[in-house]
Amino acid sequence: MADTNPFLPVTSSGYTHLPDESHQTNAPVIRRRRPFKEHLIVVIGLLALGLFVAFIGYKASSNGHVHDNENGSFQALSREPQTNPLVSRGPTTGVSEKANRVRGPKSSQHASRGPAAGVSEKSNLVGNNLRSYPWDISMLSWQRTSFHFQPEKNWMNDPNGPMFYKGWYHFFYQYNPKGAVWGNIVWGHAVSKDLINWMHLPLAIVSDKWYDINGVWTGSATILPDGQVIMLYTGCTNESVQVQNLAYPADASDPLLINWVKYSNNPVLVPPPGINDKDFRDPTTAWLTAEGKWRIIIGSKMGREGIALVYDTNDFKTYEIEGILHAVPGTGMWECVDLFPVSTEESNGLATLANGPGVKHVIKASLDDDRNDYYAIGTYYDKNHTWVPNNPSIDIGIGIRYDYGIFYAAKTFYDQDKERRILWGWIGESDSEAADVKKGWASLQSIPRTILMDRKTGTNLIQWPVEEVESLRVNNTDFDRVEMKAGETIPLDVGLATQLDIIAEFEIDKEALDKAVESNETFSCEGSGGAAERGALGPFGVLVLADETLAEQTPVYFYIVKAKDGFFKTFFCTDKSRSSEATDVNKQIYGSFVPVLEGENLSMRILVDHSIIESFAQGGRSCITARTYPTKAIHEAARVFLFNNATNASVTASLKIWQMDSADFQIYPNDATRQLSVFTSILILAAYLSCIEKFIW
Amino acid sequence: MRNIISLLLLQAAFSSIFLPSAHGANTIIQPTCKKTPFYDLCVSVLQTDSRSATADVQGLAVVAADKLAGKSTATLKQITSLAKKDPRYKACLESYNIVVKYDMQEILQAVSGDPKFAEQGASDVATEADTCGKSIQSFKSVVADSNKFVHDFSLVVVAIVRLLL
Repeated sequence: MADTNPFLPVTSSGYTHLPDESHQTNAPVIRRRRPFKEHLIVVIGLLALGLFVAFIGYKASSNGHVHDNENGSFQALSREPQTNPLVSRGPTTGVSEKANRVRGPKSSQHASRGPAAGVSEKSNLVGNNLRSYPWDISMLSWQRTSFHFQPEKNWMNDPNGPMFYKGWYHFFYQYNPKGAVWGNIVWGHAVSKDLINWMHLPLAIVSDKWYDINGVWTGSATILPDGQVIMLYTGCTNESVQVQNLAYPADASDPLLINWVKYSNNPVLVPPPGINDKDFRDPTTAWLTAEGKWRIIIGSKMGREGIALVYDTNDFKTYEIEGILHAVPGTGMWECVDLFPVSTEESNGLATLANGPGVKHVIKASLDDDRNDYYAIGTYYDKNHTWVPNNPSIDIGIGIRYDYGIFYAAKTFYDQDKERRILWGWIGESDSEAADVKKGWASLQSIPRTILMDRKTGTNLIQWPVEEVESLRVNNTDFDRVEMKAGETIPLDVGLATQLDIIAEFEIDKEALDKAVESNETFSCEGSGGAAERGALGPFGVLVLADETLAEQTPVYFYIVKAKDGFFKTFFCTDKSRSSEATDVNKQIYGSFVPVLEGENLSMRILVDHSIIESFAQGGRSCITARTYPTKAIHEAARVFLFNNATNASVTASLKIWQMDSADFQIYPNDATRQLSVFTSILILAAYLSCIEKFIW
Repeated sequence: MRNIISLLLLQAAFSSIFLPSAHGANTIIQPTCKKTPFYDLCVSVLQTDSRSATADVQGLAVVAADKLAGKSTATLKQITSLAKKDPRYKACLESYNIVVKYDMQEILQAVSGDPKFAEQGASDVATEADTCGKSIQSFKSVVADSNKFVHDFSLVVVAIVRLLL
């Protein structure tokens, strides 16, 4: 009997006995015909499986798709459920005294280098006995923000090449695709229509040439009058020399500018004689000189003197060094320098090439020594490539800061669409690197700010979150003329309090101001006892990210001092000393003096977004960005309070508080397309399997 | 004759005081290490590396980072095998995984590139070593000495890197 089933194995012992079945002996292939119903069930089963897999795939992919070009992607958090805490007048003891002020990690733990070395005292923060805190997943995951720019995971630092091009705001950033600490730096990329909702794109520039193999570092974009986009960036070479490179879009007609090419003859600039290989980075946006050349500046240092070098070029490929724009002794390395015009007469921004009467120029430098951004307003002389500050005693690096909290490597660009100048700032973490590694990400960008000359004071710039952020406002609660006696704390019932926009105005009673004793105490937010240190005329303000028991709280407040001449000096502070019970987070008090003019009420605006608090005083004349990592005052347990901790003055406050919706973060190609393509391919696979299934059975 | 010999001996003795030390004539190591919180440790470690003899401060920072990396990796190896049988090493294992996988990578890249990130990384190494140390201080651990080295020397790295800013 012939073996009529070819699919049974032929053993070495000869024919295998077949089970007793009747077969058609001359059919080459035996096929058992299954009923149609069974086929249908199998196909439907495969389809259902396909749908399920596609659903899983969609969910999983938005959490970290394995992709050659790792996108920084992020799936917007859903809004948390609302709760309504009871409204009540709180205890009249106000904020209790607490002497303890633990300085944070990320600081050198040795004795100060001393003033002779030219390093300001505040840059040496002594960390004492920091113990790792046992963070749990609920605390860590809460820290991610909902409407601030951040990639889905890993490390980010400086903003790069921001611009508005073909209808999109482009944003690039220093990014580590491999972890939540600095390293392996390349350029991430994202686009937006409104600076608030973003679409993450593939990495724009990676480190694949000898001249940027050790890092694709900070750079700026210049849009030429004919619409061409020029990108200049610093590369760290295979020998760790800092050089400047030219790149441009592969396809200028692509509004998303996904692909970039590097100029074939990079680098276009290497460190000049007399400048150290490691002190030459962060080229600026270019502007046209009166001679018709393009001019950029690059920060550096000579000894302990911070300087800005001036280069002119016709084609961005060959350059002439013109000289030094300005220098300030003792300030150390100037990173991420920026030079831009501000109008002294109008309230719109100015394009980078603006000059003439009614225009002043701001220079900004990020000081490597103390990790702060400083600016100064002055006059730019095009012909001899120099710049002179309005007030040399508050020159670059020794005067006013953009922000008195964590805010570094900031960069402006001119938004030609809405005629405004916009400022981006890198907001690092102030927790431990170990916590960053555990939570899988580190760093944020500030909400972009419009930046203008403060025409009322003439000495400060005004920064204000772009108006587009107001589109996230929902659920307004107004508190009108709430009077607080000295020492009062009042809870404000606003519902969920982890994503808020707070606008508050304060009036301190006139009698208290007149009665206050003059003093020549020199007050500083940083050196004070924080919101617990009571004075005659302050502190008073708002407690955010506070829990019900006030065990954790972050006060944002004013403190008024009556100086010897009878004039009042106002200080604006953010106090992190009790922001968290964790033992490994920074607990400094940030802030500064803020000019308050005759007739002005004291006003502040606070944006709360999970672990970031951005505060603005007097319409943006002074700003403080703080990172806080509460362990208790998170999720539904976070509250907002009003407080007046002055000893002698009553304060009347009016507030408008909105909850903030989450911003939308998509990944390119956008989510819907991917979901559809995954589903379609599963469908095709299912159909194919059901077809060949006939051959199997 | 005896006088001449003793005179010669005396002269030899005097001369030897002014001969350069056997460890080479690099004058940078001592002043650099003076600016760190652990002078003796700093000098003894840097002197074991031949690169230190002709290095500038930048070069010493690279040597210091390498030494820290070597010791952290060795300590992690030790802890990993200890932790397999002894649950008391759980905290140290977690700490040193972070140190070797993340902090040291950051330090090694940043020390020749952007030193402030090396400072940040080295500070975190100190914190992690401190955490590990506290978790093993109740018993006589064989890694206590290595851990102390990593802790102290990471602070040396912080100090040297600050000089580069």
